[in-house]
Amino acid sequence: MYKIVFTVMLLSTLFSCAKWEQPTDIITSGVIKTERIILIDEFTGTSCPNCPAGSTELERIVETYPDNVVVMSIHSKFLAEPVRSVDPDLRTLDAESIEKFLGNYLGKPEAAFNRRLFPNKSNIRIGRPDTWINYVNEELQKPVEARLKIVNDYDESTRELKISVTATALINLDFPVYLHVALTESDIHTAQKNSTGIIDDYIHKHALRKLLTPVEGDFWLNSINKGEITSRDYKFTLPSDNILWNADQMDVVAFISMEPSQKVVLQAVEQPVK
Amino acid sequence: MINQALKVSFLVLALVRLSAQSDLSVWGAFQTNANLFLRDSAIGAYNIPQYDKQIFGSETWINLNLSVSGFNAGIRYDFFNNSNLLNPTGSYSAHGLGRWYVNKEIDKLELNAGYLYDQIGSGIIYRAFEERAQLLDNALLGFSAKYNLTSDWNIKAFAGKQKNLFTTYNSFIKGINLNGFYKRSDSSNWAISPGIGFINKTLGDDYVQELSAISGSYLPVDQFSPSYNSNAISLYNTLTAGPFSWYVETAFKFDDIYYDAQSVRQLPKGQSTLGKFVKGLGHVYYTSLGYAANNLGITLEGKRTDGFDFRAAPQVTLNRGLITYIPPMARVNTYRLTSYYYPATQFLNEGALQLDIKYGIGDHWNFSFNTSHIMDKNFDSLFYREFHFEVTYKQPEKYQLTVGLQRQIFNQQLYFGKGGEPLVKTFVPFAEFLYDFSESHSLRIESQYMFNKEDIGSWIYLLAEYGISPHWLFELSDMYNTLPTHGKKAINYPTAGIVYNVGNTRFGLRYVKQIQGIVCSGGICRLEPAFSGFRASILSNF
Repeated sequence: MYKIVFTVMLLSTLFSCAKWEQPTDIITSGVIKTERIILIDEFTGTSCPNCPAGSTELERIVETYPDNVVVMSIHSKFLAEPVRSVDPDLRTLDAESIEKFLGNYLGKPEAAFNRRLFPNKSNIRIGRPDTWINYVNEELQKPVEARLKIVNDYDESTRELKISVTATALINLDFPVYLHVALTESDIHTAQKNSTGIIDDYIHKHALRKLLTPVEGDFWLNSINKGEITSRDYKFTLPSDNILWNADQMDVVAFISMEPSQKVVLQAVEQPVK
Repeated sequence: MINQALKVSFLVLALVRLSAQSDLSVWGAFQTNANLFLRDSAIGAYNIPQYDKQIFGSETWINLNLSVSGFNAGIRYDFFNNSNLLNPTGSYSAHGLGRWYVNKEIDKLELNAGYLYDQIGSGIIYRAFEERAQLLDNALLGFSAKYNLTSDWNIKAFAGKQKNLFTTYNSFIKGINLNGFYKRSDSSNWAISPGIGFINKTLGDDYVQELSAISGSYLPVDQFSPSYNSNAISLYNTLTAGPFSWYVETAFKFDDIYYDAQSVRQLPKGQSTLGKFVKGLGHVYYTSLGYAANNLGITLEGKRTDGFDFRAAPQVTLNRGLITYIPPMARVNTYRLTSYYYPATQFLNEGALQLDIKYGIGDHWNFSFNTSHIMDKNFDSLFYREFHFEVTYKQPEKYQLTVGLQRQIFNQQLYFGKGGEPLVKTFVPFAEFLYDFSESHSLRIESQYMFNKEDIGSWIYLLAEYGISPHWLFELSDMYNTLPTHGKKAINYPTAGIVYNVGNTRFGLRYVKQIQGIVCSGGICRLEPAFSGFRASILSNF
């Protein structure tokens, strides 16, 4: 019996060992000041009950870093069918191609930050929206590698949009650089599922409407020297539609990345169509 | 990995050499599953790499065990090629040493090292196990020692890191467990089997730093104090008295950080959202009262769970990194349509009761009734309810007929994440008929019909299986959506298969079209996309 009593005493002693631990500090990064602008691919959908939580988190990130993040909301097929038949369908083939391009995923909501595979993560896409701000902070702490600028010229009558993207390297980029250009649209009103039911009038922002470059990007240059300035032009005519393709609510998104096998985005930029 | 394999091989060979004169016994097993993916967008079998480009995927496990001079040792090598077992929407390719272990008993002491499977009590504070159907392998890479204090009492201790595919999670898990048995005298009609277990988990630096950063990103009202250590304790006992058996377990978890998807988190400007890490107390109370005598068996179970998501890494999700195993509280159904809706164990908030009654009359009749009621921890909101009744009439060596009825109420909002969708309510009548034409030829027919106005609608399922023992088994089945919902088309999901058994080896080849669904095993569920294609398998024990 004494052995049993001894064991119980030993367990009781071990049980209190968490109290021996010294407190660990909470890490607060504060708001980072930088010229770096990162791309966030948000994987979402109108039939995804947990996705509003992700979008809310992204809005918080945009409010924290209005000049440092560009969001593209990717309505790929999974959990993105319209809730009501009268709602606009935000799914696009380009969204689907981005989903495939970024590889394995678990579900939605998830987001990619500069399309980087972070250490100890098995996928580029990351769930748990409450952790997203930390990936943003991690990316923003990296040095700025290039500046990007977009100049848009939109013709109201023909709906033709001319886009000029200019890149300035701030360091020597000694690897192939790819350019990506896309159109996003905000202020789209649809029904949206959430964890308790359906939100009848949910406002979607940053929804990807069109990729103007291949999903892996347009090959731009084999390398860009520090201080070198280079530009490329694109043209696109916005389709006419009663609900979508509202030029007043659309943005041009551009970003440069490493080669398709690397995917990592170096710098992004966003400019309203009008 | 190669070094590790070489070391283990060397260890095994050394043991063999040392005991060249001894009685060496070697045994093992080989299992392989090969899938040929045939894209079928009509049923949703597309848009994953296997359907779009890879076409072929496989998983293989081979293990070898030996016993010599009181030593037991073994290794297992795992191969995955374009496998969708890890992530049903992804592709996983890797290979390596999946397991090695060495075991030795020295008088009252038993020593183990390697990848170890074990559990404390019913597994609530600790269970290390393998479930290949879900690529779940929670073995502990470390060592354990068990000492038999008396013939009825033993104590064991273990320490190590939980396996994570071919690596380990960066947290150190330690445990100690005392198990006993007491009976006043041989003539006494009652006995007890008490036990107590303790687990301590120490997170690695990288995990704590990540949690510290996450906590720092929350508003002060939601911040938690990051810490390295957390503890769990479990007390349990089985009282047996005559035909009665009563198991009680109570488990507590302290200072553990876990993710609560339903917890409200405040945002700047007064907004709020759902989902945050929290740190706090968790508990599980579980009891099971059984009676077995006179062809009657009754089991009544109850459970209450609050905040008991206990993982090797707090950041991982779904069925990864689980230290805890909380007993499921619903019947494990085997028919295709009675098993479609299965309530995954809720780690954070669940209160449940289950009653199971089995009664046999003579050699011919068997009756079975099961009901489970799963709710939130306060027993206010319904998660799942099932009534299952079946009766079997058996005419030995001639035929056997089973008929029954299942009623389910299933919270698809909770279990499938389908917000805004109503409870699924199904009736499933079913029948199974087994007829023995001769000693070697038999026919088995299964039929089920699911009445369902929600979710996937109503379905019929028919199966015919012809066996020619001891070698052959032929299978043909179809599942058809008689009343589709949400504007979907009615589609046939046929399956045809052939199995050949020879010795200890089983070969299987099946053509399968399978509806998208939820795979549940051991109380853990995950989404499985529709399948279209061929499945070949070999299972051999030697």
